[in-house]
Amino acid sequence: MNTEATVPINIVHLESLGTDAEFVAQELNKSGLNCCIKVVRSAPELKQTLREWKPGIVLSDHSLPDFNSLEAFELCKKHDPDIPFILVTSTVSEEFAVSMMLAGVDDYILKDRLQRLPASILSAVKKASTNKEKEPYRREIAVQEKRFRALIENIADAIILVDKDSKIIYNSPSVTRITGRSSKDLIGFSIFDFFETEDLAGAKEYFIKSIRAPGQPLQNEYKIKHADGRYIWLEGTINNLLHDPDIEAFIINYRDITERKNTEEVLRRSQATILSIVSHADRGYILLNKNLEVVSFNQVAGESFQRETGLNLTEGILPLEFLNDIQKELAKHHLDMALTGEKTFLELQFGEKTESPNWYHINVFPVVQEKGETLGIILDTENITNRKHAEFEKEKMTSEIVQRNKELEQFAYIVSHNLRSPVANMMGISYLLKDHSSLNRQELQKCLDGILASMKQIDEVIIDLNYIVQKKMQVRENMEIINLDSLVSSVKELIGVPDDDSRIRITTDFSEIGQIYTIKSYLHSIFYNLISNSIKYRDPHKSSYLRIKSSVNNKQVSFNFEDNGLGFNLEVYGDKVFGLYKKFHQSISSDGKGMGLFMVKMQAELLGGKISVESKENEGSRFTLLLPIST
Amino acid sequence: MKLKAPKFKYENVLLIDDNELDNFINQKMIEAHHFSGRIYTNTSATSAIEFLNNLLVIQPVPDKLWPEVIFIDINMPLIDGFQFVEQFNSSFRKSMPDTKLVILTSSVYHEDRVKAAEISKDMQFINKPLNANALLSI
Repeated sequence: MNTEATVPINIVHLESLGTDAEFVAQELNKSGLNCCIKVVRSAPELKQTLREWKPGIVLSDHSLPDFNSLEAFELCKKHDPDIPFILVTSTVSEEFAVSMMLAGVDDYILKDRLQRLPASILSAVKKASTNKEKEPYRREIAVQEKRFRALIENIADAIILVDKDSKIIYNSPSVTRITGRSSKDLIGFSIFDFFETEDLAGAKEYFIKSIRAPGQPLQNEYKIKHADGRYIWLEGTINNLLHDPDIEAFIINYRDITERKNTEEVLRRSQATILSIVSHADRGYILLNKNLEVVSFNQVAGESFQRETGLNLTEGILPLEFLNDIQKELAKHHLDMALTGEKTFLELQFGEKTESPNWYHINVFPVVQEKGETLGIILDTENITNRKHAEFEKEKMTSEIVQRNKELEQFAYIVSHNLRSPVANMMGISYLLKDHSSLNRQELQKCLDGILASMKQIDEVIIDLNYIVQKKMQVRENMEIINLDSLVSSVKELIGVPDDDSRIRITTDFSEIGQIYTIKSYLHSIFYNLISNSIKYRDPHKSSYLRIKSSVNNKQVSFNFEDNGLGFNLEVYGDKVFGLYKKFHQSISSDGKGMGLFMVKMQAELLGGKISVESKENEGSRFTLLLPIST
Repeated sequence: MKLKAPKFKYENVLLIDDNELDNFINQKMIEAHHFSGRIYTNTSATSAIEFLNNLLVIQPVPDKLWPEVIFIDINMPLIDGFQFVEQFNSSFRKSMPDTKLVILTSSVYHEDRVKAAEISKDMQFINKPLNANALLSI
């Protein structure tokens, strides 16, 4: 027999009988096996030899004085689990031999059949060396397996393996944790057993999908019943690895998303609630971030913004940019307040572009995180245009009433002075006339003139008061087209101003507009008063003039009455010039009662117009009358 | 009513009213009742003040010429009666403490009466037309 071993095999022979040991040695020599034999007779000797000699194989008899082959084998295994061990004996039963083989002994050889021994030794040694070569791999595999097992056992995700008949063949510990079911309630059961009827179809569908897509992980959400009866939601991935010979199953891993689902549900419901509140309100809501840019907004806000600016409200817009400078400052002030965590509000008009921009009341709320940091700002807006207009109307009415009251007071004052004055005079004259012997002819005449003058005065005051009382009632009536040149002529005639009057030169320029459609009597009265004033208060040292010019723009007609008379101190007297019975000059003629300009103002306003004046003392005055063009 | 007494109640009076007719009537009334010998008239407060200043120049301590009673109308342009009273009190009161100022007005406006009392407690307030009883009361 040829031996292949190049290195001599160290053989330890545990044999108490020297002769048997000889026989074995002889046999091995005969076979040509390259080996070295050491015979030991006891356990301690064996131990020692194993330790010191490092044998490649152990041969052992069965019955030894202090111990048997089994014990020897154990001993050898303890020393080196891979060391080959061959039982060389004569006295064992078949059963025993087989049991030794099962225990891991490599072979057993009967002493009267030693021919087999060399080959057996060779094969055992070879096997041992191959095993030794595999050792690191085996170790590696063992480690890996341990690692994976640890992973599978310890990750939070649950893993189950399901066979082609949908039966559970493995579950990781997390499965028990999540579902409340132990392995004995899982393994062998169909996974479909754990679905409610209404969810079954969907689960089966996914299973089928996975069957059709081997190797492809598919994710879905499932609802199953926990062992304690409640429903739980799982998010799972199924991967069909039936085709993989090492696995031959579906791998399903999943996690418990019940809490997430519940939170989502709560959030969805609250979102739906808020959304419905927010979208059905007639208030606009805009959320701004810390940089005052739009983050989100509701429908009302979007529509309002579109209406006011013509642009769409979108994320990132800076609403501040749509305000004018004054508004911007005001708004910024309030927004900054909100950023510090303070609630505030403001009112402004938004949309300068439209003709009548709407008024908005804006509540500014900070959005504050739990720790106190301000995350953003909510603008809660309400269109208060109607309310504002009502406010303005009320203000206007109030001021009108106040104005009316003032006028009535003036009225009362006027009556007590200017009506009473001529009356007192007439009474005085009556006393004088009672005993007219003390009066000479001239004085008598003066009395009679005085009576007439007083009566005239009373009469005029009554007429004037009539105008005041009637106020705005008759404006629409008696309107006619009036030729301005004719009007001036008739006024001059009434006053008594011939064209070549030495006192004053009156010139007119109605080239721009020569006619006007209005109430003749009012316009007549206005012209009368203004012209007679210019005459009355002319500067006797100058060559006096009065220029009357008309002009027109698309909405109004304006008349300028410019003279170079005495003028008056506008700063001091200002508005009072149109007040009732205000005279700023000494009576140039005794009938100047100062009512004229008050009448002019009222009549101008009755016609829907305005009168204003500029004047400088000793230089002259310019009255400007504005009247609307009426159709 | 004709007073038989040849002597006048006062030597001089001053009438200030912007309306000439009023001055005429008042003057005639004063004459008829022999209220005063000499009657000065002015049609404005400014000219009246100028007049009074001139009097002081002529006669440093004037008793012959100085008006003992000054009748003032309220309703006058530029400087009205009240303003005159104030000016008179500040300028002349010290040197001529006995001068009587009388408001003579056609106004029946209550506010005027109140204002007159505020400016000068002792000042008389007479409604036009001037008559005998009124003159007696001064």
